[in-house]
Amino acid sequence: MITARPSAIAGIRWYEYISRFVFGGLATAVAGVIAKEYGPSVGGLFLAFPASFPASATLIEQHEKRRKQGTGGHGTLRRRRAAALDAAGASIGAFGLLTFACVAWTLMLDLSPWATLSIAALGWLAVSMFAWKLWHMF
Amino acid sequence: VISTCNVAEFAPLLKPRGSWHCPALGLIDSRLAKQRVRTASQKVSISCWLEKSTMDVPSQSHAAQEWTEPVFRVDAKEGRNYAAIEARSMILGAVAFFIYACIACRFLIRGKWSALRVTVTALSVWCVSAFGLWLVLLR
Repeated sequence: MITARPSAIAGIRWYEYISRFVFGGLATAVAGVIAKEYGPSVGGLFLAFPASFPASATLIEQHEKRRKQGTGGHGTLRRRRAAALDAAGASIGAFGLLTFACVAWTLMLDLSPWATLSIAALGWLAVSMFAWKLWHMF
Repeated sequence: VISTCNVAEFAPLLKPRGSWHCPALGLIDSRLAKQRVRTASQKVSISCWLEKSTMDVPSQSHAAQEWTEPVFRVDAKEGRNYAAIEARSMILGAVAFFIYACIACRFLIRGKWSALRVTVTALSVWCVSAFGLWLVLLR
C-alpha cells in the first residue's frame, strides 16, 4: 500500500525545496525555448527531461550521510543505495510518464485540453501505482 | 454593445455588399472586420472576445457566425495539434527517461561515484537515447 508521510516534510531544508523548484523550472523554460526555436516535435522530448532528478538523488544522498554521521559511521554504501532506490523509483515512474504522454497524444485532438490532461494524470497515477505494486511483488 | 447594433434597424444603410452599419463604429467592411478578428484571435482570447462583441452583428446573423467561428475553431485546433505533437515526442522522452533511470540506478549500486556525478553524467545517456529515438522514429 502506498502511503504519504507528511512528517518527512519537516526533515527537508528550505534550500532543498528551492533547488528542486529551480531545476524543474529551468528545465521547463529550456523546453519552452527549444520548442519555440526547433518546433514542438523536438521540444516535446524535453517534457520528459530528468530535470529535478539529479537534485533529488543528491539530496537523498546527503540526508543519509547526515543520518549516518549522527550514529558515527560513514554510510557510503547506504547513501549510494538510497540514491539508487530513488533511481529505481524513477524508472518505475517512467511507465507512468509514458502512459501520460500516450493518453495526451491520443485524446488531445478529440477532447478539451483540461479533460485530456485530467485523464492523462489519472492514467499516470494508476500505472505508476500498478508498476510499483508489481515491483514489490517480484 | 451587441444590443445597440441591430442589423434590421439599420438595414437601409447596408449599401455596400458584405458590410454592416453600427451606430458605435460606423460602416464595417466584412473583410476588414474579419481581418481584425483574425489578428485579435492570434493575440489573446480575451481580446478576441472583446473584438467580436464590439464588431459582431447580432447573433441571428449567420454571415457573422460564418466568418468569426471558424477562426476560433482553427486557432483552438492548432493549439491542440501543437500539444499533440509535443505529447508524441514526450513518449520518446519517457522511454529515454526509463533508460536513464535504469543506468543511473545500476551505476549508483555498483559504481563508486557520488549521486550528483552519476546523475549528471547519465544525462548524456538521456540525450543520446531521446535524440536517437527521435531521429529514427519521428524525423
